[in-house]
Amino acid sequence: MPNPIEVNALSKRYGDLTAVRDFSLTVKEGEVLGLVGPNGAGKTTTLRALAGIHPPSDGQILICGHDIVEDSVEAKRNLAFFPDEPRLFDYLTVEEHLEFTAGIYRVPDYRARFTPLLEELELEGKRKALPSELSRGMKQKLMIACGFLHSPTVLIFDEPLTGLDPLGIRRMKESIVRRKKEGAAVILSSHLLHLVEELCDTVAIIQNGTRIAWGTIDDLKWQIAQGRGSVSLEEAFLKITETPPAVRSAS
Amino acid sequence: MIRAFWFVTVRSFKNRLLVRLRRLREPRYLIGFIAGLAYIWFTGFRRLFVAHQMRHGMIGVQIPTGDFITDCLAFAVLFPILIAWALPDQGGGLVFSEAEIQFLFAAPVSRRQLLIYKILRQQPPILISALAMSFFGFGSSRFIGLWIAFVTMSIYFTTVGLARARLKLAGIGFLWRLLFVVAAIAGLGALLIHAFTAIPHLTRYDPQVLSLLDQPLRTPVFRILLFLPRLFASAVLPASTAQLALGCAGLVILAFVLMEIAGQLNVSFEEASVHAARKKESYVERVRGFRSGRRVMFRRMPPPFRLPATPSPEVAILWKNLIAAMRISILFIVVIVGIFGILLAESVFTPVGIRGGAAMLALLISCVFPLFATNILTQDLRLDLQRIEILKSYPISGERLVAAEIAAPLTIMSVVELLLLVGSLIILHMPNESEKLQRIATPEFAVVVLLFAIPICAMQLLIRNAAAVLFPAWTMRSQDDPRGFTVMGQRLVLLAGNLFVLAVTLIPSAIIVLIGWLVSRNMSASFAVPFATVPAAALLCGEVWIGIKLLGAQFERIDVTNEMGSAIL
Repeated sequence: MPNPIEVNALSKRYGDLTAVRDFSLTVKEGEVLGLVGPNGAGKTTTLRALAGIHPPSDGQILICGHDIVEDSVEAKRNLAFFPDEPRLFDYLTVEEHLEFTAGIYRVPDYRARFTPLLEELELEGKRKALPSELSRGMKQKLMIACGFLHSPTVLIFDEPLTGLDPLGIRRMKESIVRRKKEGAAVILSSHLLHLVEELCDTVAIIQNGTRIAWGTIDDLKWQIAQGRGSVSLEEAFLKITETPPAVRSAS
Repeated sequence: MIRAFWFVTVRSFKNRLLVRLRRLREPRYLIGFIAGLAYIWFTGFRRLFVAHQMRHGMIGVQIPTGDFITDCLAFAVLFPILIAWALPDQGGGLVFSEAEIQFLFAAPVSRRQLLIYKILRQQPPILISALAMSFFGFGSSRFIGLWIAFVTMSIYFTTVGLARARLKLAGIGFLWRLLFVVAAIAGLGALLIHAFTAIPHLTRYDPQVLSLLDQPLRTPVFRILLFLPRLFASAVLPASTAQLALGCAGLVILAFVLMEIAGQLNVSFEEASVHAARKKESYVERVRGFRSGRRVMFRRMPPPFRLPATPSPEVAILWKNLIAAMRISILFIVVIVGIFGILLAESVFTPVGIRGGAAMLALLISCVFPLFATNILTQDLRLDLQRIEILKSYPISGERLVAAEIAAPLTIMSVVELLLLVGSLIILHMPNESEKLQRIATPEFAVVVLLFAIPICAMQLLIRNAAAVLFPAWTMRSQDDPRGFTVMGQRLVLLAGNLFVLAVTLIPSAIIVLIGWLVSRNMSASFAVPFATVPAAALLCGEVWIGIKLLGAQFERIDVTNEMGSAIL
């Protein structure tokens, strides 16, 4: 049984700019990986490459054993990508968005899934509303509902909590944990390190397009603390990203 | 403070200009700019330039001047001056941008200073308008007069806007103001009628007619009434340099007086300005949505059919785009079909004499419909490219996606085109004054036309979608869209490219038709027509199929981040 997500030596270049360089990682079933890094580190590019939006310049991405470039249709059938900015169709209602998504992912008997999903994301009263009638948080929830509809094995979130209210944040966390327990592999990118600490099993830190750390949260903290008490993920992150590359590679 | 305002105004103008100039380093913008400039040059400016070089050795159009012309212009200016008082807005809101509100309204800046800022910010567009008008129409010597007139007019409208808010506070609302303005215009009309009925009736052309007509306007009553408008008119269309100097001096004094009045009015315009900024933002959003074919006009229009229990991605995309077409563009289609229906009804119920014209018009509409309908029915990749990251995450291959995307507009275009063609053939078949027209209204002609209509519509849609995929920056609209010559040139290049590619794709089919016709010309029509046309139509369908495959492959390769020049890390 292949791992849901396998990334081998991924690189992505835009002309002269290398946004991601030789990036590798694996995410297992039921694992949540947090992708963190400073602004402009290459997080969004990595996530978009994983979702098959940007073709990688080099390297290989396997989703449930399917190459995202060579066998993109099968690979994409198993994943759901949630961008930071909800991009909805202005002319489709909430319910029509779900129907359309069900068609795209060939979801059988999809109508029965609508009500529990809309209730889970508190959109039940908005079935007939167009995106222009929804708040930003509701649009975000609709994107999430569309992503959950086909029960994907791989979930990729880019800043999943942007625009959500406190209750929405709690529900979102619960939803991610539920999918994790059901065996989904999740990657989430966020600047909210307490969220990463709360939800993720492993963390990959990316800086200037290069993966500079990868491991379980406890491992990373332990490496930074080096037996001198305990540190938070925030402290570990700052320490790792502030260390010059030469010193880091030597250590 | 004025220095800071001046800094923002000049820097904003300079930066905007620099951004546009820098863009020209990219071929796609440079080509558009050159094409736009060439179009302007060849369609209008060159003619003006050559004509005036020949006549005067200078650029510009000669607009007649004289006292009567100045007075006519003064009257024209008087109406906006009066109507400004009858406008419904009474919040006193000056339109600021969201950024200006955020930075200036919270800063220690007085209302008077905000007014000065507003006037300063209006200068670049006013300068450009004055320059363009003096260059293209009024003559370069009139630039100063035009500029001062525009500045003073903008200050006048700002002051009247604040005065309306002040009047509201004093209990004088919109209806009272409207009543006053209507009464003033009626009174003015009565005075004019009275003055002009005194002019002797002219039975033949008199060279002094203009001065004769101007006489009533030189009476003391009209001198007082037209005093302010004449200042504007003298600055814009002066009969002499002295008149220009007087007009400009008068306007400068008027501008300062109005500024002082506006400063003294003490109207709280901040809240109304925030409202006006939001209104402007939503208006811009609406216009942008309308232009890019995104504006939902009929939000409650039901879906055309219910998706099956386990739908395929292609059907889902067709379903989505049909909903989009019905909610966004159905009105245009209804209008076209409605006009055509009227034409058809008129042909049935009117005399034979005009049927020939109606038939020609019907045929013309049918022929150009595939060309202009692709601009109306944009519910395909052109609309969806704005959500390309979502589109690219769908589990569907590029060629299937392209085929599914153009299916909805193609379905609608085909149905409408077939309706138009059948209607045209009915009109052609009816007795009319043109024998030639009747001669082509044969079943063979109908078969040929109907056979080619759908593949040509498909090809036209494919070309438009290919343009969107190959040149996304030319077709996707964003906040910092290029404007002016560049965008006009881009559209011209796209249109020319569209027609060229369409012509090239039709050539092989035309050759096949020609060969088929040569081979089968001695056969009976019922055999010759399918013999000549079916292979050609099949070839066209084949070209569409190859086009879909190529475009699908290109879609899979497209890296929109590179295209839009906005790498997101």
